[in-house]
Amino acid sequence: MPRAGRRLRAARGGAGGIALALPAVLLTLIPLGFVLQFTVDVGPAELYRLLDRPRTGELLSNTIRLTASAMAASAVIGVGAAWAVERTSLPGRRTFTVLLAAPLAVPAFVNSYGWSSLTSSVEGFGGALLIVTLSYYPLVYLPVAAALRGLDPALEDSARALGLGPMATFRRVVLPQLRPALLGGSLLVGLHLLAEFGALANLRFPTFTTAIYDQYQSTFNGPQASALASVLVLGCLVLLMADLRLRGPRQLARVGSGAQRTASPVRLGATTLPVLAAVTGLVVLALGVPLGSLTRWLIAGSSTAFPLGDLVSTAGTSLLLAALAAAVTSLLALPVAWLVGRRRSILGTVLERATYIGSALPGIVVALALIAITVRHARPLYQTTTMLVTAYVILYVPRALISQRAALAQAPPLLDDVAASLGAGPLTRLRRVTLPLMAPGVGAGAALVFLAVVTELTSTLLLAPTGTRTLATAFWSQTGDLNYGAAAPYAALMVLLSLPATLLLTGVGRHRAR
Amino acid sequence: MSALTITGLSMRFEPGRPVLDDVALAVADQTMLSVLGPSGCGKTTLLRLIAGFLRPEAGTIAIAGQTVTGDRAWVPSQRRRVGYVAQEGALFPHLDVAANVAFGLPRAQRRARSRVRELLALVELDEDLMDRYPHQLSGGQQQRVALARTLAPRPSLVLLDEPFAALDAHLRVQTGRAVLRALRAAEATAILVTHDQAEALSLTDAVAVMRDGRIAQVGAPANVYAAPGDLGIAGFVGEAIILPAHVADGRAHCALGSLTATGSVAAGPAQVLIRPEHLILDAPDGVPAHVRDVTFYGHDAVVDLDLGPDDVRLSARVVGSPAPAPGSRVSIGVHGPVRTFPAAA
Amino acid sequence: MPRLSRTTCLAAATVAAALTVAACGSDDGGSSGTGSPSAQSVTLYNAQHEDLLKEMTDAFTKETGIKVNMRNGDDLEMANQLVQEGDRSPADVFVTENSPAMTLVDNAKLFTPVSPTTVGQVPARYRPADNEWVGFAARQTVFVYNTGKPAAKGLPTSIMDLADPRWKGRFGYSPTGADFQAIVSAVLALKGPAATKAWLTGLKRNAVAYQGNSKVMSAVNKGDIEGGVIYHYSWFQDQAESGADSKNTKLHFFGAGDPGAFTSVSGAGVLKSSKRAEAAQRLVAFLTGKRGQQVLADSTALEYTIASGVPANDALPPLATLKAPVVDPDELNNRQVVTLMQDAGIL
Repeated sequence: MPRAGRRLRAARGGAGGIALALPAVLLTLIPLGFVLQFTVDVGPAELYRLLDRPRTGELLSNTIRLTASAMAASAVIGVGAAWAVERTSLPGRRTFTVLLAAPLAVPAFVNSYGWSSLTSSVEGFGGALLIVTLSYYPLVYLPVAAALRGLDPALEDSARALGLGPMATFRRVVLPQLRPALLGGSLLVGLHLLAEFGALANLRFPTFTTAIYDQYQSTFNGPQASALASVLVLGCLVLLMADLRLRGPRQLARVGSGAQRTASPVRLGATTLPVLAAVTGLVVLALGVPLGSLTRWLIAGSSTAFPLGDLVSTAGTSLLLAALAAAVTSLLALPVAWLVGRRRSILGTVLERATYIGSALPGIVVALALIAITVRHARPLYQTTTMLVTAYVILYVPRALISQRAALAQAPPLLDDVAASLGAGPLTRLRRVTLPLMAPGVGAGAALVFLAVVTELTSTLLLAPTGTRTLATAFWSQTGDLNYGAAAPYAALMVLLSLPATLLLTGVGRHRAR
Repeated sequence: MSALTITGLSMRFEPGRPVLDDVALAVADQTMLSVLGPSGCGKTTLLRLIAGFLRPEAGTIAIAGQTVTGDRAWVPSQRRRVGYVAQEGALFPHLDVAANVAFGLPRAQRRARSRVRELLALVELDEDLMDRYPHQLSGGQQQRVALARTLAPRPSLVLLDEPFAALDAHLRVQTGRAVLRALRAAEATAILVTHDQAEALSLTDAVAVMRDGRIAQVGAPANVYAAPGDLGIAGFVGEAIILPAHVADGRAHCALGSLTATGSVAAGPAQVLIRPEHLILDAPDGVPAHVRDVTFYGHDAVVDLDLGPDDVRLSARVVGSPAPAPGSRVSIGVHGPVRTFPAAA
Repeated sequence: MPRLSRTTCLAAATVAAALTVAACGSDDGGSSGTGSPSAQSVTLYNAQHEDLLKEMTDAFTKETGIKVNMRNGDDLEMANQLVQEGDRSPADVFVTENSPAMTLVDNAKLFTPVSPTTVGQVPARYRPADNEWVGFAARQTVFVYNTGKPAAKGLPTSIMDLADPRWKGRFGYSPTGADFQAIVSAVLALKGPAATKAWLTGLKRNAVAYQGNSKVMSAVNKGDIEGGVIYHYSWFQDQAESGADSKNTKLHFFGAGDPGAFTSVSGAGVLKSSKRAEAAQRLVAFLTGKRGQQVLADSTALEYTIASGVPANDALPPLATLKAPVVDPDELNNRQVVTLMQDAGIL
C-alpha cells in the first residue's frame, strides 16, 4: 500500500483517538512496571531458584490445566445453555434466561464456601474446576445468547435448505457466527482464572496466584511474589495472542433491508426432558447449592446476627464504589473500544491488548503497585476513593472493553458515514449515532464491572480509605473469625446487590431495534 | 454550471491495483447521472470519494464550484452538503422514521413534524409511518425513508449507491420511479451507482459506463445504447449480437447478408453489432434460419436461431404474437443500419 | 426524542461521578493523606481479628478520648503494605496475629521503641530484646484430633513425630499462612536447620494441606483426617459458638518444652513515621495494660492474655500449665524459614 494513502487515512481522527485511549492503557502499565521492576531486582539467579523448584512445576501445571479446562467447560456449557434457551422449544425459556445468568450475582468465593461447607469432596482439580466453571460460565453464556438473538435466522434456513441437519447447521453455520462472542467470553474466563484467588483458597488446589498470595504470607517474599507474577503476565500474553489469532478479520455488522424474522425454535420432542433436566441441573448446581448454604448459615450458627446499621452502611459503600467504578471504567474503556473497532491499526491493537494485562494479575500485586507509586509520587491520593477506583479500573477494564467492542462490531460503520453526509461532525456522530447504538453493550460492560467490584476483596482491603467497609471486606472479616453465621448476611446482601446488574445483563439485546 | 466536476481522480487500496485510475467526470446542475459498471469496477469507491468518506491519492473534486477534495483542499463530509443513500438504506436502527428523516435538520427544525410530513409526502410514503422503527418497514419503504432523510437538509448533490439492488424486481421499478420523481421535485442533482443497465438507462439523464477504474463512456442513455464506444460497452449496456464482417462502400457483409453500416470502420475486415430487437423474422428476402427454441415473456419473446451451414447461433427479440414455433423455418432480416467496430485481433 | 435525552443524562451522570471521585479524593487526602498531627485520633493497621481489636480500641477511646481509625487486613499483606509505604505511612500503630509480620516491619527499621512503662507490663519472653514492639496476646499450638479415630489412642508426643511415615495421610495443617510459619520458626530455633529440613520434608509427604486452621479443624471434625495442627482459639471459639466444626474433636497439648507447645505472640508496635507518637504509645500501653488485657480476657476471641498479670478467660487452661518452650521472638525472624519451606515444596 502506498504510504500516502495510509497516512491520509490514519490522519483522520487517529491521533486524537489514541490520546483518548491512553489513560486506560497507562493505568494498566503501572502494575506491569511494578512486576517487571521486581523481576529485575530479584535478579536472574534468585528468579531461577524460585522457578526451578518442583513446586513451580506443580503450580504451573495446575494453573494451565485449570485455565484451559475451565475455559473449555465454560464454552461448552455457555454455548449449550444459550442454544437451549434461545433456539429450542424448551419449556420455561424466559425464566431460564434469567436463572442461567444469575450465578454471576453469586460471588465465586461464596460459591466456593457454599460447596465446601456442603461436602469436603469438592477440592483439588475436580473441585476447583467445578466451582470456577459454575461461577464463570455466564461470562460465556451471556454474550453467546445475545449473539444468537442477533443472528439472522435466514442463514440457518439456508443451511437447512442445503441439506444440513440441526447439529450440522449449528456446527457449520451458527458456531462460526458465535465465534467473537465465544472468544470474548472465554478470554474473560481465562484472564479471571489466572488471577483467581478467593474461589480457590479453600479448595486445596494451589495455582500461581494462590502461590503468590502464599509468598506474601511468608515474611520476606514481597519482591519474590511480585516477580512470580511475571509468569502470569506471560500467561496473559499467550491468551491474548491466541484470541487475536482465532478472532481473525471478519465483518459482522448486518445492515439488512427488510425486517429480520425471529428464528423458529428447534422442536426438542423426545429430548425435551433430558435437556430440561440438564438446564435445571445446571441452575441447581450453580445457584441452588451456594444459596442453600447461605440460607443454612443464616439460620444456624449462634453468631448469626443482623447488625442492621452496619449492613446498610456497608451495602451503601459497596453500591457507591461499584457504581462509580462501573461509570469510570466504562468511560475510560470507550476510546479504546472505538480505537480497535473503528480505526484498525497495529498500534491500536497493541494498546487495546495492553489493557488486559492488569486483569490477569492478582489483586494484591495491582494494589501493592499502586501503593508503591502513590506513596512516593502522589501522596495526597494515597488510600483515597480515587486510588481505589483506579485499582478497579486496572483490574476490570477488559470486562467493559469486551462488551463495548462487541456492541461496536454490531454497529455498522456505514451509519457513521451516512450521518456525516447529513452534516453531523465527529462529536455529533458519536453522541447521536455511535453511542446510542453501543448503549446496550456499554451498559452490559458497566454491569459486569459492577458485579466484579461488589465482590472485590484484596485491593479494597489495601487501598480503601481507612475505615471504609464494604460487604466483601465485612464478609472476609467474619469468615476470618470463623463466624459463618455472622458472615452470611453480608454474602446475602452481595447477592441481592448484584441481582439488578445481572437482570440488566439478561435483558441486553432483547428489545434491540434492528 | 456543473454541480460536480472531477478531474484526475486516482485511488489504490493495494499496490499495483488501482481502483480508480485518472477519472474525470462532470455532472450538470439538476440532472441525474448514473454510473454503470460491473461489481468491482470502482464505482462505489468513486461515490465514497465524492461523499468525503475517503481521501484519494490524487485528483480534485469540486461541488457547485467549490473544491472539496484537492491537493491542499479538504472539506469533511459533514460540510459538503452531499446526500448519501446506501444500498441497504442504512437507517439508524435506534431512531424512528420521523427522527431518521429529521436527523440532518438543524436542531430547531427537528421537532417540527411539518417538514418530516412534507418529505414523506415527497417520497410518496404515508405519514402514519412516522412512529415506526426501521425494522418494522419493508425494504422499499426503508429506501424511501432513506431518500427522505437524505433530501431533508436540501443537499446540493445526492449520491445513490445501488439503492434498489436489495429490492425484488417489482419493487425495484416502482421504488426507482418514486425516487426519480422525488429527486426531480426537489430539483436535486443526483448520481446513481448501479450495475443494472435497465435501471441506468431508464432512470437517468446521462450514463457513465465504468470499467476497470476508468470512465469508458459518458452520454445520454439512448446514445450509449445505440453508439457504444466499443463492443465491451455494447455488451454491458444491452444484449448484443456480434458478427464478423467485411466492410466496403458503406455496407457490411456478414452472415446476415449485406447490411447498411455506420461506425468507425470505413473499409476492410470488421465486426458488426446488432441488437436482438433489430432482427426481423419474416423478411421478404432474408437469410433462412431454423428456430431452435423460444422463450416467451408475455410482452415479447426471445427466439434462438440456428443460421445456415456455418452453425452461427443468435437470438432475436420479437414483439407480438404468435412467435414462431420451435423447429419452424424463418427468414431473417435486420431493421436499420448496423454499427461497425474494428475486427477482433 | 427520548433517546437523545437519555444519552445526555448518561453523560451528565458520568461527569457527576467523575467529580465525586475527585471530591472524595481531595477530602480523604486532607484527613489521612497529609496526616495532620492530632492527639485526638490514631490510625491503627490491624491484622488481628477485627472484632477483638474493635472491642479493645473502643475501651481505649472511652478511657482516653482518643479516636482510633482502624484499617483491617492480614498479617503479611499489611506488613508488606507498611514496607511499601516506608516512612510515608499513614499508620501510627501496627497490630498483628503472629510475630513474623512484626519482624518484617522491624527489619525494614520502621518501628520506634515502645515506651519503658509499656515494656514493663510485658514479660520478657513475649517481646523482642530490642523492645521495638511488644506482645499483647498469645495463641497456643495444639493438636486437634477426632475422638473416634485411631489417632485418639496413639497421640504424638512431639510435633516432630508427625514427620514419621506412620502418620502419612492421617493429619492436616495449614502451611501457607503466617500461623504455621511461626511454628516452623520455633522448630528451627529449637532443633536447628538440619532437623527442621528433615521434618518439613516429612510433613510435605505426610500431611494434607488446607487453607486456614478452621478448615483443618472442620476436616478433622468430619473425619476426613484424624488430626491436625492448629491454634487453640479456633477450637475454643467453635465450642463457644455451635460446635458444628469441633463437636467430634478434642485438643492435645504437646507440653514439656516441645516445639509443638510453642506459643505464638500477637504483637503491637508504634511506627517511627507516626506524627501522633504520644497517642500511639498510649494505645500500645493500653493494649498491654490491665484494662486492655481484661477486655481481651472477657472477649469471645479466647486468645491468651500475657501482660499486666491479667488471667486468661476461664474457658482456657492456664498458659503456665502448658509448658511452652522459651523462644525469643527475635529468633523467629529467620529468612531461613521461608527458604526451608520453599525447598521442601510447601511454599
